[in-house]
Amino acid sequence: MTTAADVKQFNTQLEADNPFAQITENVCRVAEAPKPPKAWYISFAISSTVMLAFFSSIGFVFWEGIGAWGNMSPVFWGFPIVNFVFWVGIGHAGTLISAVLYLFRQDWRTGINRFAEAMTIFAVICAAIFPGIHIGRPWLPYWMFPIPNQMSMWPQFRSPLEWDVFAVSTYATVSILFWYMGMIPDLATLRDRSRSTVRRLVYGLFSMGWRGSSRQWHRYEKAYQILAALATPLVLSVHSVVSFDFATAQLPGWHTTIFPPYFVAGAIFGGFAMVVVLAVPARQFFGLKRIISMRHLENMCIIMLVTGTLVGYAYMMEFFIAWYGGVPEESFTFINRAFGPYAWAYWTMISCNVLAPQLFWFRKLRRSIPVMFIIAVFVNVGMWFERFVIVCTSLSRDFIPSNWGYFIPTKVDFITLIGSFGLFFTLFLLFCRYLPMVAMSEVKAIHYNHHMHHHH
Amino acid sequence: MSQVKKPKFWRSLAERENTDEFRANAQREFFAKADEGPTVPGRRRFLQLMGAGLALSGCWQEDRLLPRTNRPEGLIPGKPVYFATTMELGGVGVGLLARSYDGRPIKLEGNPEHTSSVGGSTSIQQAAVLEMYDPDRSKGAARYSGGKRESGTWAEFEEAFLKKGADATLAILGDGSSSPTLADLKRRLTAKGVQWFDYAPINRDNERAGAKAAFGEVVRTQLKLDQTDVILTLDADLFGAHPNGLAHSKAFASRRSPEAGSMTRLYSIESSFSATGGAADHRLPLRSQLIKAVAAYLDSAVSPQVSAEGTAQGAPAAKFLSDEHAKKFLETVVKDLVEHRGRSVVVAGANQPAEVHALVHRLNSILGNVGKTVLYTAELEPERESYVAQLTKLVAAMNGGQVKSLLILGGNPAYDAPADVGFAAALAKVPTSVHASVYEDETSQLCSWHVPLAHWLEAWGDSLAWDGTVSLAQPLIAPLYDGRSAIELCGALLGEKLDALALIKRTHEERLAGDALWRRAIHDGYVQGSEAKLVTPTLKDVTVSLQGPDLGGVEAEQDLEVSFAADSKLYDGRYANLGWLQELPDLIGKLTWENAALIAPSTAKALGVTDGDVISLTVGGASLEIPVLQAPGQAKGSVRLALGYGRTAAGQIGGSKAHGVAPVGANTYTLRSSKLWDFGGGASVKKTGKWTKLATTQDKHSIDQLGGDEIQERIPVLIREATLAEYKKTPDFAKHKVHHPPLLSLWKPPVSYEGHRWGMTIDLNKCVGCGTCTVACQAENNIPTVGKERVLFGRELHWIRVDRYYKGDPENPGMAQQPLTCHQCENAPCEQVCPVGATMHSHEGLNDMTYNRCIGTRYCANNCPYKVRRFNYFNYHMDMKDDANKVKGMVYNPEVTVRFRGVMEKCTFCVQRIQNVKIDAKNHRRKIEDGEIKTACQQACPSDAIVFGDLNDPGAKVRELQNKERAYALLGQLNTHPRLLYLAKVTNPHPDLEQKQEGEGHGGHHG
Repeated sequence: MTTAADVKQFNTQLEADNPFAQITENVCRVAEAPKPPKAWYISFAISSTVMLAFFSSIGFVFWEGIGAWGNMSPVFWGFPIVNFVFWVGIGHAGTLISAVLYLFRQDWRTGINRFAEAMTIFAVICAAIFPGIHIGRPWLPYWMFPIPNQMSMWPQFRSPLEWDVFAVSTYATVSILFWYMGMIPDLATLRDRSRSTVRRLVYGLFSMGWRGSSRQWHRYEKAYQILAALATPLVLSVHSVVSFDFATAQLPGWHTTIFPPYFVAGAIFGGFAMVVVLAVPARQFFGLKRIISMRHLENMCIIMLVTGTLVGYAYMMEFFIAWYGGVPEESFTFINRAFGPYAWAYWTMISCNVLAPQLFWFRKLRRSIPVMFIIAVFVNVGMWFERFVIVCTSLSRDFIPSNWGYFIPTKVDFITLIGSFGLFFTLFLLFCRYLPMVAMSEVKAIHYNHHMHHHH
Repeated sequence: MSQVKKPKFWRSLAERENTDEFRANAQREFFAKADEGPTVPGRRRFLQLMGAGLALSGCWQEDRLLPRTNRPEGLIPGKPVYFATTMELGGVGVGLLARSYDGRPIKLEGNPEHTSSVGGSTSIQQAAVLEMYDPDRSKGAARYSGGKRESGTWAEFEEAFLKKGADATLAILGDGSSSPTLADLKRRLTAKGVQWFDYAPINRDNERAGAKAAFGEVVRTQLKLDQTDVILTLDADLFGAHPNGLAHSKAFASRRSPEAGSMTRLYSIESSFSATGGAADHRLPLRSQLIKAVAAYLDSAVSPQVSAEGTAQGAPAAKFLSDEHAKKFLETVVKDLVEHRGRSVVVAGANQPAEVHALVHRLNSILGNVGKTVLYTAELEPERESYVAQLTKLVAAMNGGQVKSLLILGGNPAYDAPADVGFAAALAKVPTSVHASVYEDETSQLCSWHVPLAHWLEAWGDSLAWDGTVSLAQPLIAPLYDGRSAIELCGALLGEKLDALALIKRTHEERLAGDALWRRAIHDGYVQGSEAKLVTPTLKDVTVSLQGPDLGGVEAEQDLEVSFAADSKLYDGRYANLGWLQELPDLIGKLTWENAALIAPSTAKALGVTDGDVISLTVGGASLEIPVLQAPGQAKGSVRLALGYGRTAAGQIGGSKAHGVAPVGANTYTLRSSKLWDFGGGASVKKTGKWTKLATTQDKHSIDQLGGDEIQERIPVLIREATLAEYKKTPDFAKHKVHHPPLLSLWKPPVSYEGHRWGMTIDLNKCVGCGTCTVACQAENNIPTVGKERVLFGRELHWIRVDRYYKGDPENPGMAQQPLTCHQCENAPCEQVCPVGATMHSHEGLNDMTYNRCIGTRYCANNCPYKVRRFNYFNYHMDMKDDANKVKGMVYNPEVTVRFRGVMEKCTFCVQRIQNVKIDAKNHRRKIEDGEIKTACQQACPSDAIVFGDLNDPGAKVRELQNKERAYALLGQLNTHPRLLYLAKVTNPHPDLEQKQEGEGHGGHHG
């Protein structure tokens, strides 16, 4: 994707634009400014209101019963599970950027890895809420954890939902560790620059006594590498396991072996789209255009193009296998997806996920901020619809026609869906305001490497 | 316990204080006959009497249970006791067995020994317990003046009415009961000059008139369907609507086993799909108005062939038949009837006019069926006029001032009287009018007095079965709401000193002389050998006038016909407040919580209306707004209207103005007049522009072309069907409908199934889709109703449902019914996906649900290919918080958990019944006998379609059935190894018509 010459040119550019002090200044001033930009306040007001709606809707569901949502027989899983898969998928780009690209020494990642990781964590938080609240008795999700108890209950490990519990919790743990550990040197920088006691205390606490000694750097690099190596398989495993929820069921439209790679590709696809959606305004409002450069954005567009096409291939392959497999119910499920009552959802998905990213073949378009932003939004919409199509259309018409039904979401469904974005953006805005949005130390490290390289 | 002293030890303050209330209660413990020692001290008798004592104690009513100081031997608290009793509907008593826990009846089953039940029951009978515990029931006497309700008491009522006695100014309006005791009291009352009338909106007056026309005397037809080879029904529902439907179902089913080599053949000609038409081998949709022409044609065609003398007068020649299919159909019917003379049956529906019945009598007679498959017994009150005529007379008397006081016993004439009779207006002219009924309904509100009638489960009563067998009803519980029975009221009017029981005993004095006989009858629920004597009436000349549309008008659509029918669930409307019945999907449209105008798809198209369109239907000068439901198989140009909906004073479930609850459905009685009583033409339809979403449990979303085609593809695989000839050639045809690769499993089943292996079979050849299993299951397993809005959402909770599929031409489709419940798969998809192990495999092969452990991920339901798992989306017992609704809890089966919100539930194969028998067998160190455990659905099924048992028992019937060639596993290609197998449907078409059917979409499907 990136040639050596590219890297060289890119790093030269970075150096020219960002001397060390400038980098520190640029990143830290966002967190240190007495007041964030007006846009931040407006965004925060909106997103926190939406977040409140989210928690209110959950409260309502707790009070009334999950019948407040529209899922029913035969579509027993509606929006909550669609949202869960959607949010888990979003997280993947963050891990990919921070871990996989790190191991492959893709230096350009440094501009965006921090907040891609933040995005991962917030997306996982959003995702993790749904399996907990979507159950009929939402005060008992802890029964899914293997906690020794006086009731002699133990989880049933043949259930893919149980695998989810471990996949998602492992993922959340590793992501948080990775994110936090990577942030320690930068937190120390903020601590050192603090002027108020409170800030010094808080940043001091979380920077865990970082002094920047060479031994600390040595340990830090090693740990970072190990965590990256741990996180890398998670990129593949988490969404594979999530896809098992469907793939191991016997329902036509779910029961397909293509799901694990297809889900992973989709997750990366959707995740990068979300990074673009976040990065574009963030670099605009916080003056980070030099650090998160056009090159970063373009690279992400290219990844979206590749994964989007992969996803398109998977869509076609599903059809082919449904026909080739010769199971009449499965053939019908796919024809029904495209031409049945849910055709509108299917074609929304195809347009957003397969057709829209094809515009990135054109260099001009993938370097245009408005175009990439709009397409990224489309991809997010499309990826949500992909999960909707998988979950709802397959369930709505299964084996026995007398069971067939049509899922109609309720208002509460929509509030919960939109509300989860409120939570996500609220967390993200708080992150932008109080934490180093860009991994300063890593950006500087590239700078330094490049510098050394230059003198050889 | 007759004299209660101040006790040394006491368990309640009331006991210690020895209040009047307590004393009254304590004395009531040995109410009625329970204190008489049993003459034959058998264990069962003893149990029964002790149970009766407990049942009648009525202690709970004061919300206080009085402890027994000594437990009578053999009486175990919490153990159910069974009592035989009788439920009367439409003047016909059906024997039932009531299961009672500690004096609380909670479940009714058919009485296998009773001729009108033969072990089966109807959905209405299954729901009767719900009616008894209905909190909306009338709770006491009330006075009405100017439509305003004032509370009253029985004492006031006695003073104001009963004590005045009976004279010529008193009129009584009965509801057509066949109770011999009531008939006796009626005789005594009319002797005093009382004017007695009867009225029932659903009746068989046409049949009586038809018999009169054919024989000159009123006789009742008794069919021997188990000895019949060919059956032809003319707008008649032998199984559903017929009072003897349960016996018919059983007899018919006994002749539908292809293994026997021969099967009966059923032809149905009807305007609207009935259970009978659905089970028919050949069905011809035809407007009700044309049935007369068909009967006349049959007579003219059959007569010469059986060398009968002449034909019925006025019967037409065969040439007027124009429709090719109808012509072929009728010719085949004639051929078949003649071929099987002496072993055939022709039946006309109760809605058909007397002439049709007369023609049918003539047909049966000339075919030589009389005395073989068709028998006659004397009809009750042969001289009485039709109910409509009686009601008209009463109204005239009321208007003429001859009636100073009127007592209405049951019924609801203000709601269901013919629209043109003017009953309500006349009622206002009667100075003292009394309505005694179970609910304070539309009629009560127009009377000056309302008094609560005891529910039949609360009172002594008697009735006559369809074959005349005297059947007895005993109270299972003291009246919950201070109600009294019609017998008691009439007795009081006569100033009788005897109570209801004594009156009944007096009536049956001759028949049941001596205590032993009486006890035997009470034990059995009926009097052995009391069936009516057979009569042999002589056929007279039958005349028929053929005016109006004839068969030439088969295709005529310019004349729109309306045809009324009793609702299969609400009957005449009296069960409108029973949620179980409102939520039961009806046979045809799978419609719940309302009625609709059923119209053939082609007629709907011609009228430009579709499902859910609210139309304004005008006929005979009256109009009604009602939604349309397209019903494949409905006769062209015929609109079927179910009666019994649109109640305004039914209660909080069925509609109540007083409670602000909108009526459920449309009141079709507003269109029904004495002139347009059963059916009639001249209707017109206007669109109102309104649309309503119909709460159907199947085809919830209108099915598009793509889905519709797919359904047609799948039906032959889901419901495997062959003709008798095909079956004889390939008995295991069902096993060849799906071809799949060898089924492999990743692991060996973890359970070896030593001991018991529970299994079930459902014979699709016997099921007529009546839906009784659904309500029986609801009663047994404490399944709540969810209401219309939630049915619309697809959240109904029925554990067993009946799927209905049409096949072939939408104008003349075949119908297939398939009851579906948990298949208890050995390799269950649900068990594997539950993260908390809430649904687990028992070592006997049941998929057990542990409600306590379920957290409601609903993954199991998603993974269930049969979609038989049901989820509690809400707490459906919130209404129980209201003190007034506490009584609803009484109907629950104490052996089944009431589920809270958020948990999954499903069929358990009635595990509580299995356990009870297992425990009993273990205690007595005996083997469980085959057939000893019956699931609720099996027990209720009138046609014995469901068989349950132990597959490890070599002699078990279920094992024999599962080994039959036509047994197949639904979706067996998924490797689920279901414990429920279906027995494929085998039809018995006539070779002449078979070809036509084949072209209509039969054929194999390889998947």
